[in-house]
Amino acid sequence: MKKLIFVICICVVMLSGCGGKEIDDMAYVVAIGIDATEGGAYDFTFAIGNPNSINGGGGEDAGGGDSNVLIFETETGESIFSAGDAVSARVGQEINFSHAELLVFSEEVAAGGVDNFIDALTRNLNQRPKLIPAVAVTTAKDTLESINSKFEGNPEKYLKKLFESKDALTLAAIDSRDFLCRTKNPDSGLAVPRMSVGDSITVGAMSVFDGDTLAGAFDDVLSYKLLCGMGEDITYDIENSGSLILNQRVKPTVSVSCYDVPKISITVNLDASVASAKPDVAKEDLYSAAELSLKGRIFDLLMFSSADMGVDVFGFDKYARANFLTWGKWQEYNWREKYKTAQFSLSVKIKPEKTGLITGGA
Amino acid sequence: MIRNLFLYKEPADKYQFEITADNTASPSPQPMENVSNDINVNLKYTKELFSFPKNSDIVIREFDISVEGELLRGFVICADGLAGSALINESVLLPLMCLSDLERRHGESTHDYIYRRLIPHVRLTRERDINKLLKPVNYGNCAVFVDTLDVGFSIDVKAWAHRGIGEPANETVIQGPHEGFNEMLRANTALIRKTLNTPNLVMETATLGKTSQTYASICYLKNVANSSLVDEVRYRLNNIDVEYILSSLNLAQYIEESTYLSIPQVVATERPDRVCNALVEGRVAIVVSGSPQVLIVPTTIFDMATSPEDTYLRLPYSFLIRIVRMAAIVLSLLAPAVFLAVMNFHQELILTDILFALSKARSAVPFSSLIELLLMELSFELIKEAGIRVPGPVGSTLGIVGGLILGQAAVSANIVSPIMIIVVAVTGIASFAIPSYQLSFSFRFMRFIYTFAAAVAGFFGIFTVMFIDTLLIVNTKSFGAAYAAPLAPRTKAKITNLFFTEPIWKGGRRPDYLEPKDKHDSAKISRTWKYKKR
Amino acid sequence: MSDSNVRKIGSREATWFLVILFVSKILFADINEYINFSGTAAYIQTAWCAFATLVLFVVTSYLSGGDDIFSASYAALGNVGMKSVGILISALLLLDAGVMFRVYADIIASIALPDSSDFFIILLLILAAGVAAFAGVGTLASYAYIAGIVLVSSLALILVLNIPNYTLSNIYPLLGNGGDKILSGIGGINVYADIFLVFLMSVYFKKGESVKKSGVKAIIISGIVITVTTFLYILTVPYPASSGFALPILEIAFDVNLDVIFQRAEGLFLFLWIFSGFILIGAYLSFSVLSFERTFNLSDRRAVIGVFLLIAVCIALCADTSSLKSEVYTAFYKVFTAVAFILPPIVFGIKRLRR
Repeated sequence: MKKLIFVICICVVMLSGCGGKEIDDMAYVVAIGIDATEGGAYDFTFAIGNPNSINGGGGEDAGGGDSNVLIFETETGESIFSAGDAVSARVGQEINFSHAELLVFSEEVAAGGVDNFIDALTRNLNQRPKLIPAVAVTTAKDTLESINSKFEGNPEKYLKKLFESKDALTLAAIDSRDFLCRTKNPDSGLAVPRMSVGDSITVGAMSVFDGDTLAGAFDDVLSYKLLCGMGEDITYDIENSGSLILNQRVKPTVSVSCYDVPKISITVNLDASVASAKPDVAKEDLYSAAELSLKGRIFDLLMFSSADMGVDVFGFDKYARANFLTWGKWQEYNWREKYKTAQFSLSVKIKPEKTGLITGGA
Repeated sequence: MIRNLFLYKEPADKYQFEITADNTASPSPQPMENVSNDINVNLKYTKELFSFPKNSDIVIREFDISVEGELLRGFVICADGLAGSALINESVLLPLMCLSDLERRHGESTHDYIYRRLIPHVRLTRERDINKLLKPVNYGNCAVFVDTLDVGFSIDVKAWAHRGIGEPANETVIQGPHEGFNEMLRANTALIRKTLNTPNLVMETATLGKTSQTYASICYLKNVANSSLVDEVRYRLNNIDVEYILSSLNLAQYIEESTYLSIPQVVATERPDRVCNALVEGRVAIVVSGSPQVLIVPTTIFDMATSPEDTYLRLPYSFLIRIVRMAAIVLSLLAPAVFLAVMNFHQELILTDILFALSKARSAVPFSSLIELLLMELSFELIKEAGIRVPGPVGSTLGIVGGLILGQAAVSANIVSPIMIIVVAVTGIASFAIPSYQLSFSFRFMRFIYTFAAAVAGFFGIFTVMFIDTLLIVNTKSFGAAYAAPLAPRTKAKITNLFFTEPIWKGGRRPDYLEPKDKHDSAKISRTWKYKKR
Repeated sequence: MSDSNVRKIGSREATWFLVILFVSKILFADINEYINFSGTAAYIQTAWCAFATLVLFVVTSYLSGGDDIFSASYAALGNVGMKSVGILISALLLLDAGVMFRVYADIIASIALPDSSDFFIILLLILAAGVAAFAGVGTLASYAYIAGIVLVSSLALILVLNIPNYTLSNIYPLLGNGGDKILSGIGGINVYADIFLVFLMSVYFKKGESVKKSGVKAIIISGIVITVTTFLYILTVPYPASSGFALPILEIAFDVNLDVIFQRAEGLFLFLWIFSGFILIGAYLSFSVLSFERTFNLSDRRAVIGVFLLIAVCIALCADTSSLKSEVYTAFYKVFTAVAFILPPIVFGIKRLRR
């Protein structure tokens, strides 16, 4: 038996070469862009990290601000993987999606449905679920090519910081696995960052998906973040009064009563510190002005999602389900249609936290 | 003339030697069992047995002793270099030659007279069996024969040159005793007995090897050690049919259960404190003459991973050292394999920062990761082996050449990447942090298997080998005790102290897989000073 | 390797051995079965199945009276009956080992070695399973004691590291697809089908150790682990998307954001999954050989291990297409579950009646 085991070991060793590629034989895609073409195929743009230009490993070149940190390759194809194969053949290295951070769709592609792309990437082992989907205002290719990491040599790290940092004001991203899960949910939609092109990429709006299809957009990202419980270190300016730093330490309290017309009560609790105040403005006035202003904004967004778009972007269906014991009864209620006529009761409470090093106005 | 036309010269006959089968019988004397009354017979047998005078270090000194006016012939035989001449002169020749003519008591026989009144030596035995008298001559005894007596005398006069008690070479500690065993059997047994000064300490003698006749001592505490364990040790030692056993490490290979497993099943230590600790737990120690390593049986994998210093350090320090040691064990075994697996199969697991750094570092290296790793491992092993054998003055040069120049040069020449040097260096340093030399050697061997497995199948290969390796460890026994005890099979013993040290006063129970006669080595409350009323 | 046939085990080792066999099933898509049936109340279904298994097991062990299944079938059905039972158990377990070889090879090829062929992976699995079969049930159970604690701790670590991703509202509606669906989901006891192996293992138990105690503890521990894992999975991945993933626990491991040398916790899942797979396949092979040995009173079981390995590999290489594999797997498990829960009480019951 020992001989048999030995023979099997030899066979196994000689069969090596079944898989396993050197780390420097692969091209690591950091971002993927998908644009539609006239023929029905797609233009896939791959932003590939250039290790020789990226900081780290004793490199002597400055990585920050150097456009060579990313190499852009565009290929037309029916699927990401066929385009990836063509690019691999061209660059001489195998394309690897496992470190991709960003997936940008053009509006045209998003309007046609993105399920097949997300499904393909999630089904395949290579991709990891921290891929962030986004929609480009112009083309995905232009958006990717304008990535300019001024302070960070590693473009993947730059994108990660851009989208995952909680203290950024205007960004609220979900990853592709969440995207897939929520597109499979017939009762609610989701919002992804909407990217426009300038000196660098800017994100100041969100695109709304109903299922896997683009349904609309809105630009009040602050209200969206507050409703989703993602508000952290937000500097909020109150006109002619001053500014507050808002922190949302608890998620908003939501309760949904499922009558013929669903009634959704939302309470947003915020802790505020005074960032700046005009000398003639009292702290209490600052807080109440902020409450009023925020309430108006958030309510507008709620009504937009309900009456105008008819898509439950904020995931209120999770709370509504608590009113039903079984999935069958929930489906009978038809939340999707009922949401369009939902009534909102909103309350914004700002609790003063600290005044800073100056004790306040006159 | 014709023969020399072309100036041909026959080559001269050169001497050529070839070993051919030797069918000649080796000269041996007529077998003899008992000492003869006739001294000539004894002398003839002795000279033939020892090939005297061909054997130049055997000394035979004939002399006469006078007993009540009667002159009796005698001779003493010893080995020059092993026996002390001064001792023989004082204890044997002087009394027998000069002082023998004393008045014998009424009815006292000659051999009683010599045994009880003439030879003033503490280790004097008399024997009828001539071979039992002559055998110890090879071990530093001298044998005395006297005409008309049918007994001979064997006297222990060992005085050969040997190394003194020094610090153990391979098991150094910062705090704790710095004594180590040496090659003298009695010096080693003395070190044990002076620490465990109890009459329950038994040191049985065993003889190993038909030709070498190496002496060994089986040490155990008779009120603690399991009798069947002691019997088993004795049985194995007495049933090794071999010509010579020259060291305890040879003996370990004869008595262990499985030679092909990489893990050792017998502990070899140079520290008396470790041996004493093992004896108190109920284990058995085997001291072999000529070898500074003492064997301890049975053992488990957890014993291998502990150091005697664990009990000398205070609890917080020993806790930290244990953590470091566990990390060292994992690193020395798995670091290169995991690195290879991640580099070749699981690039998605590592941070992107590190990924790009590794990719950049490797881009100029022409070899695959496996070859690069094997090259570095081979270089490291060569440096380690050379370091053992290099002469003293050159030793420091080797460190500089091997470590700095070769490593630096290899990176500059793009033979290897810097990260590989770091991985191999960390692995090497971690392997030196393992207290047991044998275990670290076992890990050195297994590391290559893990590396190949990682190169073949990534993490799957590593886990396959790990599963087989750990299963074999659980399946192995060491002198009847399961090698992974008390974890597998699970016994009643506490297992937290396998991984983390406990306060020394919390001891109490001996390892239950040893089935000792006395299960407790201390009272439940050992610090009675804390609870006694003064 | 020494013959470990005589290595006795305690009830702790048997318990953890069984726990690994049960819990390793949820590392596959078995959680999906519960979710497909009960929706967001899948964890209630798992608890219900654990309870049902416990009741069935207590009844069966009461009927057994401490006997193992071979001696009981001999007493109940005579020599022919005992041989039939033994051959049936041996064949089923061997088939199970073959099916598992293929299933594991497929999934490892998907998650760890996408460029390798199934045959190459099966070779490595054979190596590990062969060594386990040679080591014997006693050694495997001792090994499973350490491995069980480590593996359950790894699973717990994955679940704990996922705490930031839990959303409590994902469990609504509370009864999922309805109470009737939950109750009729008793087919989920197939996860615990291996419980009948404890009646084969009883010959290995040390004197005074209880078969019933180890079985009950194993069902309770694994019931808690499976229920908690299912519950936490539902909290992480919302229904109905949760029923769509092939390896639910892998999805949970994906969600862990480590950002310390390694990015995520998939390595932990790989460790957990591969080790439990080796123990599972090794156990099936060992028990199959053990059944054969007990049925035909072999003097040395190691002689047949090679043949059994070969047969298992042939079974593994039979099914080519993924739909056939999935059909075979589903059908086989129905048969296996039926035999596992019906055969022992029948045999023990007949034995009792005959007394």
